[in-house]
Amino acid sequence: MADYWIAQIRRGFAGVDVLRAVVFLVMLLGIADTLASGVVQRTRELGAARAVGVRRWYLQRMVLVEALVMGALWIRWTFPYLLGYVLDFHLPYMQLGLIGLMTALVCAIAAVLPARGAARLEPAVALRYE
Amino acid sequence: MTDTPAVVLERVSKSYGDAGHAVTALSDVSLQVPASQFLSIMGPSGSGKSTLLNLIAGLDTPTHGRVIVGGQELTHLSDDACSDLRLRHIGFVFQSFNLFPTFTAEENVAWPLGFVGLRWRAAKMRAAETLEQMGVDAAARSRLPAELSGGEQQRVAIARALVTEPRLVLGRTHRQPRFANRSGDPRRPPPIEHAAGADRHHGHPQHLRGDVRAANPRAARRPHRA
Repeated sequence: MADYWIAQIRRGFAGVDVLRAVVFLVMLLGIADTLASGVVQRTRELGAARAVGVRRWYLQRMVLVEALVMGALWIRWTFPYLLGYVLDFHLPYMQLGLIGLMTALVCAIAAVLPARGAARLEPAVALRYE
Repeated sequence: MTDTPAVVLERVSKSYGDAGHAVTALSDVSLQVPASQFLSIMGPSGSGKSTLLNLIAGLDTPTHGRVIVGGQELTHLSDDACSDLRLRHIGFVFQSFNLFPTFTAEENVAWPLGFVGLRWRAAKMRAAETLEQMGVDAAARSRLPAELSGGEQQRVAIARALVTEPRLVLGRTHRQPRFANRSGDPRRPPPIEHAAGADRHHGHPQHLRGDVRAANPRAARRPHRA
């Protein structure tokens, strides 16, 4: 009898995993898009930074840090809602750590292309950008 | 005093685009700028002034020829080495200043110093000194570029170019340059400004010919810092 109900509950919550994957996918796209548009908007500034003497890797790292900050803010604002206040008597450290890790990973993946774009900017071209 | 020229261009050419549709910005330009000189190069739009400056600053690479700055051939330097050269030895004043809009005037000037190893507090102190020498008052130093007048923005941009005490200062301006030696600081190197430059040739404004002439060369009053 207990096995039956456990199976039922697991089946009922199976959709949550799909939802979680969708949430991370949306987050991935959102962060990548925000970072990429940020790089495009700041093309001239990035060109100026390169002209001042900033190395390529620094710009790459800058975009990665931006992504991680975005991820941290995402966790800060959405985590209580993800867990639900119903479970306020229980703090699932495991789940918390897992979501943090997943978020960092998603942010890092989202940052790859924008960061590469920032690093590849040719300063002479970037400075001409309007 | 050093005998090493500040800038040497040897038969430098620069073309943009594919071979079939290449636009030549510089064609076979040779130029030698001795140390301790202030040099203005003037010319019409599209004559290759910006390209010349970009090549000297290592922001772009020539299609042919050699660019030597302070005895170092830029084409042989890696991208990082070229960045370091710009950071430590070349100051660049942009025509539109290109100040970082989210930084205050002081932060704009202090920012490059972080990359040469100064701590932020020390960098801000040196930035404040440089801004003071440039005549930017204390109130303006804590403002964002958008809150500054055009003249103040220009001074901040010049301060940012001078704060690392570079050996070579490159600048672009619409008008006759006047900022050289403004600081009155004997420790400061005399800037060399390539303001513009070209000889029109056969009505092709994109050609800056090999016979680039210094329009306003004059010896600086202070010796070049090696």
